[in-house]
Amino acid sequence: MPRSIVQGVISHTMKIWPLFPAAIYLLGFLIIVTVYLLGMSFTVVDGGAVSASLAPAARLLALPEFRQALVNTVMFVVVGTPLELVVGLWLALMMYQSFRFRGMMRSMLIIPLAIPALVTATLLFILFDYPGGHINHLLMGRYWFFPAVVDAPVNWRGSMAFSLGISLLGKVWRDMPISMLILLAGLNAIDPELFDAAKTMGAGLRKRLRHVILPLILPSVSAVVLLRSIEMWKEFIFPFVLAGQHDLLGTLIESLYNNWGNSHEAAAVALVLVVCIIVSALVLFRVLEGLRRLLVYA
Amino acid sequence: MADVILKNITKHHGDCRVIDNLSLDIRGGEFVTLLGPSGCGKTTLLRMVAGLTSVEQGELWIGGALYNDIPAQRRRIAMVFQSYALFPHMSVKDNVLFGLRIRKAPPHEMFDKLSWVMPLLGLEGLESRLPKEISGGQRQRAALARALVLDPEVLLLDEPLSNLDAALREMAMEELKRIHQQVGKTILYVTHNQAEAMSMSQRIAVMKAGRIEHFDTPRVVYDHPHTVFTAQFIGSPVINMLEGEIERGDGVIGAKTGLGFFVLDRDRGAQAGAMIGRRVRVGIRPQNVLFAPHSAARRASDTRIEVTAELVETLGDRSLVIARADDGTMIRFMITRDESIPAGTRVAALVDGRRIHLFEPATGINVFAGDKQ
Repeated sequence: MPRSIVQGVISHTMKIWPLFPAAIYLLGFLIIVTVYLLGMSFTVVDGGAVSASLAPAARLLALPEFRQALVNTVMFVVVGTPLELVVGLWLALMMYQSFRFRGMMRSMLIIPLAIPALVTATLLFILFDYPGGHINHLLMGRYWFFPAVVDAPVNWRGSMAFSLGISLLGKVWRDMPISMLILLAGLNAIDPELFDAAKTMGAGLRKRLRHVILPLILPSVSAVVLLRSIEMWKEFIFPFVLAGQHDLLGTLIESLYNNWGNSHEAAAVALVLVVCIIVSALVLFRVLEGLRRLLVYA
Repeated sequence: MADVILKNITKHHGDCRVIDNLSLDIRGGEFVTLLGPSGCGKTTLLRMVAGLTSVEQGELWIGGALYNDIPAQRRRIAMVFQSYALFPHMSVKDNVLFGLRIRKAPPHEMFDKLSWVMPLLGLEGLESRLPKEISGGQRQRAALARALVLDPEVLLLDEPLSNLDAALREMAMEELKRIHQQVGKTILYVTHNQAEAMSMSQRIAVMKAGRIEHFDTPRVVYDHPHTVFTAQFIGSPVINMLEGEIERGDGVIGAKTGLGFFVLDRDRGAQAGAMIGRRVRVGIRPQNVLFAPHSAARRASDTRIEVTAELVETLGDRSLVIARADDGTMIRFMITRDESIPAGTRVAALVDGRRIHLFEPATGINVFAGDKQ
């Protein structure tokens, strides 16, 4: 081998060697988990003997709880991701304005992130508990400052739509600062003179948002949509605490493993979740590219 | 071609008064420059005219209408920003047409405007390029094109040449002047560069600390500065300022300084007759000091001085001599490239008394100017 090629390889290796430990760590984990997941999803254990089988996948497809959890999770992603984007964008636009106490306001808006998700979910559980939660007490006139609206307590978390809705709102409330901060960073990276220029050319707020702000923060919007949609797919704590038997895919894995003792079906659900996330990310890439073309070239 | 009238405008940023009871009357079609150092309030004033900054006190009239409370997007004004503010995600063509699209102009109007402005500013062939794909000079022209197609009543330019190199800036100045002659718009131009102001403007408003120090034609501002600040800000190299006193001598009236007695011309001498004994600051531009080693005074108002050269700075076709008189008074003057003065040499020069400026020491106001504008 010529000496120059050897020197090139050594020089290149010296430049990237600090990446090796992190790369080995990440890839190692990924490979171990993927192999284990695939192995569990497509095998059965019969009398201590492990054999390849599609039985876990077949059993899963026949399971009504799985189909319902899949629908629930899709709804969670489809409603939750845009909601978090819109709330985050609105707050970022507010925080982008200069006003008195802006720094303090921004700090306050980040507080939800500092509260553990389990605590937030438990607080919501207490609020909407049946029959003695604070919301029921409030509506039944137990507090002096609010009149009685209902005669009997309402089992809020008994309804699938309501319990998952509360889970979704809790999730959005807790994680909204992440979206806000990503979008605010995107807004702050834009030269303010661009907004002034648009104003002097006759663009009101709506047109500035459509023609200047959105196209220029599209990279931040893409980051929010992709990251937050993945988080929505994986959500566990809020529905686990608040939605009880109304599972998402994340909580169904736990149910199958811990309650039903079926680790192979649980692994198959986890595999479905990974596939959903990959497909969703690919679809969102296409959608976001279409949005970029629409905003930039229309 | 709308006129712009500012009446007693005041603006604060926090506790700082950035515009201080300022009034300015700009005629329709005029090219006026706001000239001043950083922080003097010139950009704030421009942004008030644009509607990007509110008018706190006073009145802003454009084309005979009160504009104080009209938002920026409803003013028929276009602005070119220091950074050009071209939308990075749009092509040059889309940038130029942005304002027309926002105003829902018909397609034939957009086509006509584009066909007019692109050759006017030498942007043909760049229509589909993004701002990052064109040079600084082309960006500046694209920003100007974007403003011109809106057919604004007033065109505002905020230091649009400050990002260009010297050669490009000179070309751009010529272009701006030519465009103003062609389109005849009222132009309000902001800069801290006196060369830009002098070469392009019909009138210059010299600003300091939120106030207008002097507002007149470039020639008058240079030849008859109202204040010490104006005299020092306009002109390069910087004017010499000496301490002196108005005195009478041998039938003439002049200013006595450490360098000598400078005879005033007849008109100003007559006015200064009532000021005998008054302390003044004497301003002498380096260009009005003639290096004359052997010649005697050419006219009655010439004063011969003798100084020792301390430093000589080459400026290209001329050199700047920094010299000191026997009493320690410093003076700077110019010599041509053919003349040579070694440092430490004793030299003689003639000061043209017709061109000296006398200012009140306390207020800095020109003693012949009356109240400053």
